Amino acid sequence: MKTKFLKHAARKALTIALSVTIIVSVTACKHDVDEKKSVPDKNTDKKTDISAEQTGISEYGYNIEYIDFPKELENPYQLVVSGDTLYFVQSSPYGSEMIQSLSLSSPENIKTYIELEKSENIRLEISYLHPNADGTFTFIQREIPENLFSHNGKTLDLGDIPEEEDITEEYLSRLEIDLASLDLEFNDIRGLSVKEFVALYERLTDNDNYIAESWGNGKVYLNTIDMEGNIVSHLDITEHFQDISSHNAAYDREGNIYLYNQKWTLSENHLNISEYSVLKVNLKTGDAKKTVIDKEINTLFCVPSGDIVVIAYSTDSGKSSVKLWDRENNSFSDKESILPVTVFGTAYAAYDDKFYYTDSTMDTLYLYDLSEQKSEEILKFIEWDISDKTISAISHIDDTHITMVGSCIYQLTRVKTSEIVNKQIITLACLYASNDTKSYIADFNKTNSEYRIQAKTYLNENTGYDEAITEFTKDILSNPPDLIKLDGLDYARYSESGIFEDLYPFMQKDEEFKNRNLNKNILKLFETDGKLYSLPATYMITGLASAKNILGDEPFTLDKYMEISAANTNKDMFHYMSREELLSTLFSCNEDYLIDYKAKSCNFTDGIFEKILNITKDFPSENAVQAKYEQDSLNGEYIPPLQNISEGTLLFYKMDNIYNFLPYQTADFIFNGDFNITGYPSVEGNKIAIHSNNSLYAIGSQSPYKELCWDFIRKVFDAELETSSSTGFAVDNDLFEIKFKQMAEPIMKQDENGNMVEVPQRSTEGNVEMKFYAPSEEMVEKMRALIDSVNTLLPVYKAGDIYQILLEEAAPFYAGDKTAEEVCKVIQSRINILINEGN
Amino acid sequence: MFLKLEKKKNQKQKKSETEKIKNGESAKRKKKSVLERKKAIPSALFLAPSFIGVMIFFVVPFIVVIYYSVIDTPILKNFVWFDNFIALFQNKAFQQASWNTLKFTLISVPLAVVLSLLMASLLEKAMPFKSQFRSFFLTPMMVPVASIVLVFQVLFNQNGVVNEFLRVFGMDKIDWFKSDFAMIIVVILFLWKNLGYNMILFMAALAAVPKNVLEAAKMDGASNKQLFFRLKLKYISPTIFFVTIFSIINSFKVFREVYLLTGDYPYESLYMLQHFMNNAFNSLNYQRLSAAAILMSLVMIVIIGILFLAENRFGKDVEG
Repeated sequence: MKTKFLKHAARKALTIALSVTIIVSVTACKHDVDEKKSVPDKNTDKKTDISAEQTGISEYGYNIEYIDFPKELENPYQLVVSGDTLYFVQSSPYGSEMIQSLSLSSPENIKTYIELEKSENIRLEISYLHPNADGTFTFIQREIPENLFSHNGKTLDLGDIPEEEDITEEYLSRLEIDLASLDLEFNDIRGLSVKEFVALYERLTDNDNYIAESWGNGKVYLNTIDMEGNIVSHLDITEHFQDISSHNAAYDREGNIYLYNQKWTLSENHLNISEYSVLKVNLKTGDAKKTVIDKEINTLFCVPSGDIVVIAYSTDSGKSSVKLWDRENNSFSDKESILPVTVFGTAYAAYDDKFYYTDSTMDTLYLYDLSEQKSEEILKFIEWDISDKTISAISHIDDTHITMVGSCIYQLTRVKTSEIVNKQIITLACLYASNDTKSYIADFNKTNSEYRIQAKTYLNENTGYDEAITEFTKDILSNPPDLIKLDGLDYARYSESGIFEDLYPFMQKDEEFKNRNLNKNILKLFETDGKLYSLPATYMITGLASAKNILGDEPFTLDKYMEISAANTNKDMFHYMSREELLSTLFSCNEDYLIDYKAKSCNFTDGIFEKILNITKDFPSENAVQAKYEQDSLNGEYIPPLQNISEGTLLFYKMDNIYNFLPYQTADFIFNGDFNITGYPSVEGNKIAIHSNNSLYAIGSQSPYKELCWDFIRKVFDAELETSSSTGFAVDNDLFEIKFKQMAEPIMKQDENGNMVEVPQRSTEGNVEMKFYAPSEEMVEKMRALIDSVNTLLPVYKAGDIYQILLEEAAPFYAGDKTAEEVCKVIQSRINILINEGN
Repeated sequence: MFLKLEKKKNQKQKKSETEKIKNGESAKRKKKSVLERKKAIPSALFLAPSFIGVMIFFVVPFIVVIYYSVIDTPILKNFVWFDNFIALFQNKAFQQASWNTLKFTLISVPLAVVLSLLMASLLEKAMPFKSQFRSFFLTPMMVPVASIVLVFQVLFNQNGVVNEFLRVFGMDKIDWFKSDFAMIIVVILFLWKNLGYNMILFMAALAAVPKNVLEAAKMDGASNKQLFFRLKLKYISPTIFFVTIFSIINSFKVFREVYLLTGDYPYESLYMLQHFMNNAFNSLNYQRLSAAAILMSLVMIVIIGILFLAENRFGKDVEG
């Protein structure tokens, strides 16, 4: 009886235990629905507080104060923060260099310590600025002769010197070339032909950095000045830099500077680094000791404890490694530790034996402890609205204050999370966050006290494109983003699913925006089924220029192209064009003929696409084009397209980015005013295509913050319009007219007599030198007509699957395994299925 | 009157007795239901994990699929009832996919059943290297899909072995996977992979046919053909039913190989329902995907129902 009871009880207990275990394990799998995360914020001007969750530190967050540079500060360099003071160097319009500072608490007041005047034909450079503990500054001053750059980019006039013959000293003398200025001896170039030498010479003289690289080409001084700008010491240390150039420096506490140097030599027409060294120079006496080392280093610096720290790339681990420089033995210490990432740029002393560093993508700030050999993640820049790609200086003020300097000054104060007020997060989903995106996000966040945009990126060094797309697709349903960056997405695929919001209603509702005069023609090209999911601010025209006698007044149809090609077999049609690129472009220009998305039919078998295939077959593959380009560049045989046209070996001049008069004027110049600008060949012969380099953003249809998202898109639109002079024609017609008029105006400058004269814009391509004055009325009208005639959008990712099919099926045709007819039949079948799948 | 009284008395007595019995019975029933309830609780607890699992992994997703099939998009979630199904029937890609899948199933499944039964019958007889042949036919099951795909690509590529062979006889090359021959290749692939397993099942079923019945039939003068069609087939009808369903299921799984060979958008003769659904998933067109899945399951239910009926009718006289 007792046994029976025990058995019964045991069975019950086991049942209950099993049930509970399974139920608990099942409920534990519940997906954490991401509630709109809150981010702590104190609603202050240009201040943002970030939660501990985002920083990864459990208890603390940071209060960030953004301090803009004063307007007088245009391009400061060599920035160093010490205490409350930012020291920097600035170039004056007259070529002098000024060492200045400003107080972080009152940045509007700039103090100038010293202004170093430059001599005629001398270029002045200041580097390695360092405030010393005794209140003085030390820096390196370089004076580089400007004539080292006199041959920059120009081709030598050989006169009657034959190109095929070997270069001789006599030829060098006739060409007035000083080999020593190139750091060459005659033995280095013995055996080269004149043509090969000229190519080498142009390459060397085109590379300013190489010429200036060797510090011994000019003068090198080690200067120390006091707070009043008086020179305390001025040491000439040129002799130590005869054939080396310095790339990094560190100051220790004993009055020495350590310079990391490289020596470049020319070998078989290639520049190679032949030696690495560390030069220790005494600041007072100028005595130097050089130590040759066995590897390249990224940076060296001194930590507050006095150690000289060296960071180098470790090929074994694929990351950066840390070593100490043994000052007594002038060598690296044995101990080496590996950092978790590859360091970007330099590192910055923090406190004790610690230093700050950033990763190679400038996403995260770390603090490294030398004694414990541990890294600690301090913050992620994007989460803190720091969009700078370059942080120039970091200073550790105390345990709770850090100052960083980039495009502005960031004052970070560590606070407890409990003291921080929450901000609502708006998620921006993107495959990758470009610098522009980070900048736009930072600007939005700084001006918004209740909300902040947080970028969620899917592509990183550990995930491939397919994985990123899968992750993005999962999030669309389970954790829909508020904003979506369309770069890299085949958004036509997603547009049918309703994940994007139509922007037209927002544009209509926005009181200010609805009165804007936008180019409806351009916006129409970006529509999908009558809806606008993204708002481009600028666009560029893609076209082909050719001599008038090639096309005459006829439309540039596919048949016409074939006729021209057959009549000019000894000439190239396009410059370095691959079959894949041409196939994609010709398809884009004929897409509306080949595919009717509304009727869900396609038309690849009526002969048009066969023509496209036959046209593209004459061109080499992408790999072959790339290889040829690299080979030609290396051998000095690369001839720019304008030169080819002027020599009559190239028929069509590709103009991929027409957004000002320059391409038009170039075509006018090269074809002697008698030319056509057309699109690529098409069925009707009238396709003029555009593309946009803007990052495009869409609003997620499930977002509860649509108005704010529209606010962001508007701000991006306005920001990109501001820079439209360099990114394309403005979609805003009013701004377009202003900038179009400005482009057409002559550039005037005062001459030596005080008269205002028009200054031409100069352009050189190969041996073609061009001078452009203001465009004529006729040219302005023709340009307008070109802009008004655009009717095609060159997609980047609009129809990724279709392009894949075309390229895949065309491959056996190019290999000669199939006829064009057979390929067209297969393409017809496959694309027919693709377009019929959609609703 | 006395009789009436007696009758009434008797009726009353009967009634009270009946009530007593009823009360007794209900008391018993009550006692029984309390006991049953006591037993039911641990039973329910024992069943709970499986039940919850089935709910979470089968029933709830199925309900979600039905829900997705009656809304416009999973983003907007507006009810459109049968619009998705109507759109699906009108969708040319779906029509093509359905036709191809049906064609493939109608060709490959009967072939898989008949050929494997034939092979099992042959191997049932005493013959040399019987177990080696059995292993040989089972081997394709062990080969990973990627390896199979690679082999078939090498064989049937534009510049593959088969085309080179054809060239020897002066015939033109055929792009096998992008032509109307593609279905044949896939059928061969399917049969090659699945015949072995079906054959083993049939061999086991044939071995289970009662020998005495066969002997009795032989003694009665039945021919081998009569033995096979009149006796063996009836006895192995459950296995035929199972193999047919199994082959139908496997015929859908051939999508794996086809996808690896031809990608998202194959030539039209190879475009299957699974391609349609896979692409719908990639385009976030879950409503279309769900509608297609429901239609497909309804068709499967009908087919299996028909098979059940056929099996019941055909094999009923030999079932125990």
